[in-house]
Parts: sequence; C-alpha cells; structure tokens
Amino acid sequence: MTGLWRPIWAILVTLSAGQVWASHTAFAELLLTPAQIDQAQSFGPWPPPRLKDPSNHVSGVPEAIAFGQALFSSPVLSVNGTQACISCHRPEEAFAEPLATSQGFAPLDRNSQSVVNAAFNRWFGWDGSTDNLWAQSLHPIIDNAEMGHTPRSLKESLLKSDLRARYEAVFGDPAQDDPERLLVNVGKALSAYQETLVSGRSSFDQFRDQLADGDLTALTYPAAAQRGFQLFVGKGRCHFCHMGPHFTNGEFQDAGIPYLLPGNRVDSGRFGGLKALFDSPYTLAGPYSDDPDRSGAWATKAVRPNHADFGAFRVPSLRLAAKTAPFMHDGSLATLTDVVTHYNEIDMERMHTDGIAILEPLGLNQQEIDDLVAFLMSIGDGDIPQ
Amino acid sequence: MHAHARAQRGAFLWGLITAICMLPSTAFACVSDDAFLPLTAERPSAPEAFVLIDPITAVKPFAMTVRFCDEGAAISDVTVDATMPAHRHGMNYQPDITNIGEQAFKAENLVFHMPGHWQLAVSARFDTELYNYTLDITVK
Repeated sequence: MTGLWRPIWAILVTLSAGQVWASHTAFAELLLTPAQIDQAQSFGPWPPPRLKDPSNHVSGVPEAIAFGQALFSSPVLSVNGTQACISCHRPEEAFAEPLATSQGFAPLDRNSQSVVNAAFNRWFGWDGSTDNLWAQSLHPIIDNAEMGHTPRSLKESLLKSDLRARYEAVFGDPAQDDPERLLVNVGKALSAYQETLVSGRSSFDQFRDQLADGDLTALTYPAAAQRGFQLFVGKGRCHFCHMGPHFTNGEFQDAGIPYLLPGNRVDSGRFGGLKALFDSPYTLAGPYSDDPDRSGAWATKAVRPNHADFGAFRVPSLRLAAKTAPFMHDGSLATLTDVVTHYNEIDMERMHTDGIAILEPLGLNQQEIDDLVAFLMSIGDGDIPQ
Repeated sequence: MHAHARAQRGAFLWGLITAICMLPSTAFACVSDDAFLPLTAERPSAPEAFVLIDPITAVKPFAMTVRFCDEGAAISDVTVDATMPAHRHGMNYQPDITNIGEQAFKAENLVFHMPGHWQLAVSARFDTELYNYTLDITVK
C-alpha cells in the first residue's frame, strides 16, 4: 500500500473499529426527570447494613449460623423425618416455593415466601403473626399441617440425632433444656443462619448508584426498565406500598386476591395473624426475647387491630420478584405480567367498600405493562446466596 | 409637638411596627423555638398549640412534641393521630402520649407507612373544654 492510501486506510479502519465498539457498548439515554432521579435514591442503597438482632443472643455468632444452616436442611425438624425447611424454602428456587401453595403434612393454603432478605422485615409471614425471625422459624416446626412436632417431640428427635453435639456447642447440653427453651433455641439458630441470606445488588441498584454519583456518561440500564420505573412511581402508584430499599413498607394490604378457601374456610390474613400474635409467647415483648430493653416490642404493643385487616396480607418485597414466581399469598398469579395485569384491571366491587382508596384500575396499555415488568425484573436480578 | 419631633416619632413607630411584623409567629406564643409549627385550631377560641416534629422517614417510627399555650388551664385527654385523607386510612400503630410538663406532651411511635399527604389530628381538653387541631404533612 503506497502513497496516500496507507493513512486513508488507517483512518477507515479506525472509524470502523469505533463503530463496532459503539454498537457493542451502546450506552442508554437517561429518561428520568430530576424529580424521578431524586425518587430513585429512596430505593437504596442496597444492601443495607446488617445489624445483630438484640432479641437473639446467637445472632451473628458463627457457630450458631453454621448450626442453623444444618438445621435448615435437616428432616429432624419434622415429626416423621420427612420434611425440612428446604422442602418449601428451596435454595435452588431463591429459597422460595415454585408451587402455588406449599405441601407440609397436609396441603397448605399459602405460597411459601423466600427467606432471603427476611431479616429486614418488621413482621413475618403473610399474616404478620410473628414479629421476629426466630419465632417465624419455630412456628412451622410445631404446626400440625407443616412439620408436626410438639416441643417435647422435637427435643426427643434432636437428642437422638447427629445434631445433638452441634446444639450443645452453641447452647449447652440439650438434655438440660426444657422443651420450650430447646424449641426457641432451634428457632434462634435458624434465624442466625437466615440473617446471612441477603440478595446481591441488582441492575437497578447499579443504575440508582450511578445516578447518586452523578455518573450519567455510561448508563446501561435499559430504556424499558427506566420507563417502567417512571410508571412505578407515577401512574402505577406502586411505590405507595412497595417503597424503600426493600420495595415494601412491610405493612398489610387487601390486594383484591380472594381469601375464600376450599371446605367453607376463609384465610383471614392479618386479622387472624394479629390474634395469633397476641396469643404468642414468642414475641419481642415476651419472655424468650434476649433484649433486656425489649426495643423491638413497641410495634407489637402498639399495633391497632382494624376490621379492614380481614383479608389483608403482608406487602411482599419486590427484591426477589424476578426469581420467586408464583405470586400473591396463594400463589395464584403465575407471572409478573399476571400481577401487573391484576392491578391494571382490579375489580373495585371486590375491594372493601368502606375502605382504602389506594387500589384502582391503572389504565396501562400493553407497552406500559411490559415496561413495568421490565423494571420489576431489574430489581431482582442480583445474586441469590446459596 | 414640633413637626420634626412628630416626624421622628412617626418613623420610630413605623420602624417598631415593621420589626414586630418581621418577628416569627412563635415570638409571642409560649414557644420560642422557630422549629415549632403552629397547629390549626378547629375553633377560633381555641388556645394556641404548636408541634415540634422529629424528621420523618416513611415506615419508621418518629416522635413529636406538642405544646399548648393556655397558662393555668389543666390539660388532659390529649390524643395524637393521623390519617391519609386521599386514601381514607389512618396509622397502623397507636402513639404513646406522655405529659412532659409545662403544657407539653411527647407523642412517640407514630408511623407514616406511605408517602403522600397526611393530616395530623391533635385534641386536648383544657379544664372542661375539648379543642381539636390539625396540621398537614407531606411525606416523600
């Protein structure tokens, strides 16, 4: 190659390479308004700092965490040795239940929620019948339909199992513990383990942090997800309940999902959950809390029962929505598109007539539904611990 | 009076009136801290009332101090509550009210569990007369 052709050829090659590079690293345009950028900050940072649970004296203790992990997969926790926590909270399914409703000794009425990020909740379970993670962990063990133990039978099973030595290393000789205390200790070890299950940063978190840093030059967050966020905090009004870094206010809402059950039964949701809470000895206000100040007990003492609690269920975090189908308390909605469609077409006749004017049909078109789903998927694409 | 002296007195009076108008509304109330917000009384005859609110983060419990201005009145039956008028619901938790003296009351464990417009509702009995107050608060 001679004369002028060499530099011309070099220029052409450089331009071509630049085009290829640009097409592979096409940065996204920022669609959010300044007000929406500000709103995006309220959904982070993630993950939040993990604090020890003052009501659980083995919170954060490595031996308790390891023992809790062993317990989580042990069928010793079921009276006939056939069920373990992982039977419903499957690690390969983000510690959630891929079936609509779970199966214990009997068919259960609700979908088992993921225990990832559970440590950040104020209330636990779909009905908020517990106010702490160790109580939530022990209840299935002594539920007749779930794992079927009594405190006494659990103690007998543990004493005969290969977990006895591990219990002793954390809590002392299990033979010396009364059955209730042993049950609570098992719950506390399970809780210590579950506290370590925190989801990783998602593509939304990366986008949010870039906005916080003012780094707008290399955005890769897709336009569809940005439009979805705009709907989430705008027309969709999702953020009224799904707010903050956990994408939930942790409270209870009637979302228009039926609560009638087969056999002329009803799932009363929060209404029944509060009754169970007030009757439970395992609350943050109760004798098994290790916190001398009972600092978390204010919520249990101050919560106001309301007739609108009937059929209301805990607002779930959306952090894992991308990985924990199906959805709603009864697992009746198979996909996120089904969830958005449900809210888009919500039946106002079904909602409490005297009640809370939050949910109403959204009027979204198909593109908007798809965008909102794209945003929801981007919240939950972070790594799940194994 | 000499015209010049009258002009001087007039200027002084206008200056004094201007200075008074520029003072914060709390300057003549029983609170001296400008951070206290005036509550809106339902009736014009109600004693003045003010509230000092801790920073509010949605979903997290917060506290406030309510101060009434009716020296000599025995204040009782103080209630503090809040609703979201657009959503037709209230708070999910009952605040704790404590008399902290000097016609001031501490309200703790208020929780605004949604962003948006809340209306604070305060009531108090002054001797035998019950008065109601409100304050609009926007939570982001």
